[in-house]
Amino acid sequence: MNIYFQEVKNYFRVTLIWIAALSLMSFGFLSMFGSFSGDVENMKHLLAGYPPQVLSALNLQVGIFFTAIGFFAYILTFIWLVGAMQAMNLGMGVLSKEIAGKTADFLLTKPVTRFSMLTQKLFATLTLLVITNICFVAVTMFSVNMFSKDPFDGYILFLSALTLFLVQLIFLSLGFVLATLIPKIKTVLTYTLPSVFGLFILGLFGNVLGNEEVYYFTPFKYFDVSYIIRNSSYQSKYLWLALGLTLVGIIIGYVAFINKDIEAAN
Amino acid sequence: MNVYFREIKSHWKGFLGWSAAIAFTIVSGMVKFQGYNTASGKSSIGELLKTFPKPILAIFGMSGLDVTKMIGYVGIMYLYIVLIAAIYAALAGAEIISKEELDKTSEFLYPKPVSRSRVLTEKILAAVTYQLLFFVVAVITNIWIVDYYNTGDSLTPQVMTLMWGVLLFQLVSFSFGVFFAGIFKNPKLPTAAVTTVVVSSYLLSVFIDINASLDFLKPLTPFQYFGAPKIIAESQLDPIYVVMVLAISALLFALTYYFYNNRDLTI
Repeated sequence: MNIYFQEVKNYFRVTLIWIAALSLMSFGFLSMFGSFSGDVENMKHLLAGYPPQVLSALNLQVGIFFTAIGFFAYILTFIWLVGAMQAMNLGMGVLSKEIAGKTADFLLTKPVTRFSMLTQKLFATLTLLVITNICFVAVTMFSVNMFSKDPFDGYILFLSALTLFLVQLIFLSLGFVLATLIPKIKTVLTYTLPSVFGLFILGLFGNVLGNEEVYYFTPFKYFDVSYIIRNSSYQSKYLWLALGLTLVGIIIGYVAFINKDIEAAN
Repeated sequence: MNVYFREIKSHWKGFLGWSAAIAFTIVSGMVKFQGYNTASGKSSIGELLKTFPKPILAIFGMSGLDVTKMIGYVGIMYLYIVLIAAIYAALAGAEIISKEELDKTSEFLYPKPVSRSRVLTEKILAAVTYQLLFFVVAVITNIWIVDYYNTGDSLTPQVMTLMWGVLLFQLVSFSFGVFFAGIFKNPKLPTAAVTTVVVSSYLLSVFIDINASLDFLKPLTPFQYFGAPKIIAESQLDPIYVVMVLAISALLFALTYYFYNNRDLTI
């Protein structure tokens, strides 16, 4: 368990910064809900005048859009973006740091199997992500409670906020895979930023154009709050896709890492 | 010029990758526009959208832009181009300076009979060379694809104005990257710091779009003052902000030289 505690300790401070950033985004954005919902009556009135086809083309449900959860859904995309960076940095960093920091020979000559080492590292990252999400969900529930005058469905809000964790799992495993496949990693950000933003931009593309088929390729489109509101659950095909991708990524990571020829430091 | 050529050689692949990414984004975005434009009964939606409440348009990323017109669509693509270009420039600037410390090759490079300023200049020039080439790739792709699909009057001057905006984004992100690499002792920090700057100014701009009471923060984020709706509406870049960005970048470069020459390198 040494490696586990070592990694949790190593990444704890950075995780605190990420938690602060995510919580601040959620709290700061929701605090604007008051001024936004001020014009609601006005806007609802305006929107009622548009033909329903236009509203549905924009995937705009007037009833949902002006609730606190609907408002939260908007910032959620950007929270995923930041959370994805955290998770992928973590997944990639935790595996590549021994080689980059030239401590691989030190660690790998210890009497631990690579399997056990990897498992401990994986659980360390999962622990940190779980802590992140507990804080994030708590802050979000608290903020909505504080800023929304109308009552809201706590379970639906909880499900919506928890999508952060699911998106993070995918990017964690993506980080795992890339860390084992790319031979020499100096700074993880050089790989994580393009990957995360690439997928994010792909998601925005889909948004503007409403291309459903793009959605499968980007985790930023797997979870749709308006679906969650209507059904009180995730869309099952995307939930399975998310969990499946995570699992496949982790398995590839294990196989590749256990068989990897790790260069000794010189 | 050894350092210059050395860096040119070692960053060649990265440049190819980023150029391919930007060209792909521009082309595939425009191809989809065609499908979108013919499918949805054209300008009627454009007219309707104009009357939508502003926060809602902001949420769909269309504030101030008419997606059914070619130039409005180019304006939406502009944001993606800017994001990609800014990230590339930021990472390139930070990496090229801090790589010696990361690879633990500073001990090899800096005892050589070249001054630190000289090394810095050659490294910056090498990175700038690639930034400019990347810019040229983006400009040519964008002008070509817009021209290819455009049926009305030529939009090249307007596209070019937008692209100068991209170049300024590249400049300011790059100078922040170089600056952080110049001042931080821990060679891992610069990339993280410059990423934080780019991402938070993007997010700040998103917040401002939604909430008009944050308008006073506009001067803080180039995503606002070099935003597509503003550039298209004024058909030029706001000269005050152009000067401001140039001045900030110049200051950052000067500070980089000062601090980098005077600090202990991490060994």
